[in-house]
Amino acid sequence: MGLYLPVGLFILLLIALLMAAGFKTWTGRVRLSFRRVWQVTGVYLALLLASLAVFYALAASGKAETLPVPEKGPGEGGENEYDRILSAYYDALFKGRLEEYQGAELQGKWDFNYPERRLLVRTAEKRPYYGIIAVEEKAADDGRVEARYYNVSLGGGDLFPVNPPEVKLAGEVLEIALPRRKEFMTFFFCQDFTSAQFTGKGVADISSGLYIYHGDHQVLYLKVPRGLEIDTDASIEHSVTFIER
Amino acid sequence: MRAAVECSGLTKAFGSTVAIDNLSFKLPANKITGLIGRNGAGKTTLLKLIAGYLAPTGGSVKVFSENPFNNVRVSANLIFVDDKMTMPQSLNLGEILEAVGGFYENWDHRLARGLLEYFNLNPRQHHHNLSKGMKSTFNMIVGIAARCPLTIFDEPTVGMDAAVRKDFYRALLKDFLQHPRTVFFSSHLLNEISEILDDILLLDQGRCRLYMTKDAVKEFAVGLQGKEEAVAAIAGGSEIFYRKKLGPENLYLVVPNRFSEEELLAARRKGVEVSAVPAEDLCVYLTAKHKGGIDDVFDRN
Amino acid sequence: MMSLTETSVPAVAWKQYRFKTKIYAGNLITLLAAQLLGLLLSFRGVGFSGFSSETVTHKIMYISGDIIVVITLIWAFVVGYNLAGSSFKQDFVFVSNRLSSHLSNIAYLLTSAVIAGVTASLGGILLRVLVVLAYGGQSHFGLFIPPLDLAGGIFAAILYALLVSAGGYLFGMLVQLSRAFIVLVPGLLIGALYMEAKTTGQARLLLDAVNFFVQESSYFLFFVKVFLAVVLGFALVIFFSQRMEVRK
Repeated sequence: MGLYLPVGLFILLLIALLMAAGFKTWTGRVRLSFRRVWQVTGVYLALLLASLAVFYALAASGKAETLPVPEKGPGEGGENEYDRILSAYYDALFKGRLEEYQGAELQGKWDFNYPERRLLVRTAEKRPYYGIIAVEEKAADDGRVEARYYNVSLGGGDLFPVNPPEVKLAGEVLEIALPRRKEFMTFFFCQDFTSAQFTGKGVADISSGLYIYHGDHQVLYLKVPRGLEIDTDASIEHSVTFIER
Repeated sequence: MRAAVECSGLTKAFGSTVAIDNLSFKLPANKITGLIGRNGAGKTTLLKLIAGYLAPTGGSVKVFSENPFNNVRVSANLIFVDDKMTMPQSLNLGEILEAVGGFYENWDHRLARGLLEYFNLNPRQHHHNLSKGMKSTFNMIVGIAARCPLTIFDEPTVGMDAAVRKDFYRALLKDFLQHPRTVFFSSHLLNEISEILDDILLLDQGRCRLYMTKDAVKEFAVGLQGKEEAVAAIAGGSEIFYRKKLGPENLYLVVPNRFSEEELLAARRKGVEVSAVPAEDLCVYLTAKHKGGIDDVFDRN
Repeated sequence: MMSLTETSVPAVAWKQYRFKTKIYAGNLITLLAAQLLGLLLSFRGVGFSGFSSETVTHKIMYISGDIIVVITLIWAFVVGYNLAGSSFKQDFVFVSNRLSSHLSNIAYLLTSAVIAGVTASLGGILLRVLVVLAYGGQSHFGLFIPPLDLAGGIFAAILYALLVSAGGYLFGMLVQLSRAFIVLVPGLLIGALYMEAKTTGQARLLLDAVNFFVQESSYFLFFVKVFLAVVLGFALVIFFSQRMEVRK
């Protein structure tokens, strides 16, 4: 970082000197009369002013903010509203209260009758599954496996909704078909450094303080009959968490 | 009458080279004065000192009673025309005339456009695309149309052909007669410009060699030609501006014209031809290093 | 006898200023070209980051008009530098003295800075509009700029352009005084930085000089700093050139 600025400035100076040499001959060759140049500049200014009008029209039409990205809160840890939402969500999960928790959104629901004593849970393609698979043993053996798919609700609706997996029962295997991957693109508009030095909303400020909160907090919650033995294979063994109520 | 330009003890040195050496003269207003001299005599340096482009090393120069260096009042009343005038590249000739006209109170735009047309310069052309002679012509048009109380031409006819030069002299003279101003005109073509000149200032090695009216210059010297002894006898001890051997016995001498009518008559009787010396020849003789001119160099061997 | 024209330095400077807005009009075309280039370069973002998991891929583009502003500032430097190189010769062909020449140049640079600052800042707005129109469906953040922030940005951009063009003008005038400065100034700068980096391990000098302006977060103090720097620069130029002769 120490040498980054001077080297950058030096390169800029070089570019400037080269331009200075090139400019003179170039402007000498531009055969536009000054009146025409003024006209062209006027048209350019009009275009810029028109874009300004469009810009504030966009802002007024509510298109300005599609993404309520949280700003970094005060304090070292960057504790903020979203951190609070997430910790409450996981808290509910590990206490087995996700079903009644308001901040969790049900995105998939599968029920199976399964009277057997053993169940193998794995992914369909044997590719690893990185989400959380929570397994809760029901109080009674009712012979039913209930699979629920939850995701955290960030308040502002689903910003980046991920695709839910497919769950199906095939013989003695509960297969999880991995969700199709979703692709997102987000634009972060940063103020020019000329205003950012007063407002603190420039590239450097935004990119260092940025943390995107995703819908990537999905949980596959399995409620299984009492006494059902769950087997796993390599594809999910790291994902499974047993919930004790 | 107040002098337009007044130099006293004016000196300008570039390093160890003295270009203008303790020069003093007064340029009267509303006359056309020719500044004559050989290459390197200091003509351009003197004109640039007057225009305020250069600062004197010693002495002083006054234009309209003021020091011209860094002086906007002098600058507003003076235009310096030469073949190196920087003209804006981005404007065409018509636009330049318009833009430049804004600077000068007496600018005559109709005259400028008229001259432009007369000299076949297309107003849509650009200055840097012109030939050397056309550039000079355009600059001259600017110089005349500006109608500055002090108009300086430094070798303004560079590259112009003879016909254009003739038209230029005529245009200058005509406009001068209608709007008299002080014109200081340097040239090495004295025979061409002598018609329009009132006065001649002959500069030699940064010094004033001669400064008088054109008519006085014509009377200033006489040429004596005849047998060597006879010519020498008449010339006596007077200063010799030029000497040339004509054959084995004959001699041509140019000497100051201090002879009375009788003396000249007597000379003619002795077979000595007495002739006037054209101003341009005299100027060459006066500024020559060798009294015999270039022939000297050959005769010595 | 033709009567002498009475005039004053401000009157002559004003004529020269009007003359310059005509003969240097070509600069506006290069400004336009430079800003359009900046717009083009900015369109794919000044920064890029992203991450990917089993369920999502997320690309993040940082969009800002910084490149447009920087290119505009380079333009401003070049305009200042070239003005120093050509105006002195040009001015004295017609009516001028040293002070009127500088005053008209300062007025010209001020005008250029205003045009540059306004167009550069609005260029950033045009960029935002174009990005939103081109990638309409995508999510974005921080698009809206409060009008006051924008006004502050324009204000600062004008001052930066003025500062940089005054720097270019000073540099250009030094080069007019002696060609040696064209090597001397960058040489001394690099040399000093090198020595400093060698002895202290980092080059604070230039960094501090830049931060002096860039890290000023008060509009008023920023204005004062730029104003003083610009006045100092122009004063130096006027002082240095008082005895400068006109060469052709």
